[in-house]
Amino acid sequence: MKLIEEGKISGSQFMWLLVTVVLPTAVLFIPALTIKEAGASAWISGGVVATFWGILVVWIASTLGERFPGMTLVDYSGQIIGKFGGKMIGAYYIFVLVHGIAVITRQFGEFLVTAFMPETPIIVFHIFLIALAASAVRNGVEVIARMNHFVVSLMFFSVLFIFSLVFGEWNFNNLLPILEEGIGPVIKGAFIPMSWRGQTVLLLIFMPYLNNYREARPAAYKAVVMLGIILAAEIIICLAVFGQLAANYVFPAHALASYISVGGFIERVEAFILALWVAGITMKVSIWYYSATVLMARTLNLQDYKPLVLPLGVIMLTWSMTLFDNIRQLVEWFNESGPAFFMSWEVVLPVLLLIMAVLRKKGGVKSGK
Amino acid sequence: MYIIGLVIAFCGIILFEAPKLIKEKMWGELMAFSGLLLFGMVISSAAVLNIDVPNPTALIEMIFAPPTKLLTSFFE
Repeated sequence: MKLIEEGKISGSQFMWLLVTVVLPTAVLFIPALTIKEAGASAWISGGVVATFWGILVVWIASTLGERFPGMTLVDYSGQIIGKFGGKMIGAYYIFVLVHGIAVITRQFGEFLVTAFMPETPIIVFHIFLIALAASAVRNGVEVIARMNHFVVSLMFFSVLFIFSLVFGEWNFNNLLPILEEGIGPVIKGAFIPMSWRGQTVLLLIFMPYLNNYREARPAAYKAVVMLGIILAAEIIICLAVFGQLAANYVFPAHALASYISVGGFIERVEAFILALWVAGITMKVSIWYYSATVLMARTLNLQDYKPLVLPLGVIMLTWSMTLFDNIRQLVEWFNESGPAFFMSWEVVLPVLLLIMAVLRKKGGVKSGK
Repeated sequence: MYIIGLVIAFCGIILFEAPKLIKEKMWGELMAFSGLLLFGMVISSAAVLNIDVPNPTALIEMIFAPPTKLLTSFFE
């Protein structure tokens, strides 16, 4: 089965790709949204419940992917539910990804405008972000995977390190009582982190590029657990510093970074965090952008995905400006329709495809290697 | 005013991609490129000229807000 591109990536690059698919925006938005619903037990929602959910998503997606080694999502959905159905699945994922990139870009722009450069028009950040990502996409999956390995491993460990620098302000009594109002609010608060963690379903797009498709499953589990660790740590530290007031910030992580003051010597590290996040979000957008473009090329049966990059970029840029009036509306949208929308493509569609594949005996041992 | 910038940007994109596609006779790619770009042109010009076009987010909200409400209502 022909791929759009001949690039190959290794297992550890694959793992970091999946970390990036979730982490950069999650680090910004998840603490406030989760703490608002779950209060002092938010770290259980964000760290434990969402991680189990992520493991479930990865299990479903990689079981589906392993039945059809080396094939793309559109090709095997075509085999499972017929050619037209495959195209429809492709079209839905393209829409989700393009819309998703518009949302990510808006989050990024709002973050920069709110926290650092209130005078600059937001579209400036959007144009630069999408232009950079477009150039990364045109260079192919290998370039993205290598750059991502460098940028995001750096981001991952320095975020942990930086957050631990606020140790002077930690007060773990803020985390008590655990499960104050039972498990209900914890699950309810977990919906947002769950939809974020479930974005690892994009492993379906990158699986065909792996040197050895058997490496996908362990790498994806590792990525989900790493995300669980860093997000739980972030929520715990936010709670320990701000208590439940953290829910009132749009970007508690940024407020946290500006709190850092070690011995009157290490201060104002939020600029450092900014540099990491800009790099991280650029990688996240590149990965989503790449997925949308190759998926589109595959759905339309094209030989080359590169001509689609710029027109898609125009659509993303326009949507990033017009979909939402402001950041509150965006956050509201996440709360009101986010969970079911994300579930529809992260879990429901892969599960349906998997069930159909098993029932119709498509893929698996006899047609695989 | 912005519409002029928009026209320049679209001309740039077309000049950047289209000649290569025509020279190598990649008609399918050209079709997809033109279709997408046309869509992009329509929505971006509408945005610049302050014309309301259907917003996909509203569509998502219409379809997925009721099930989300149902899901979260289990955990009140």
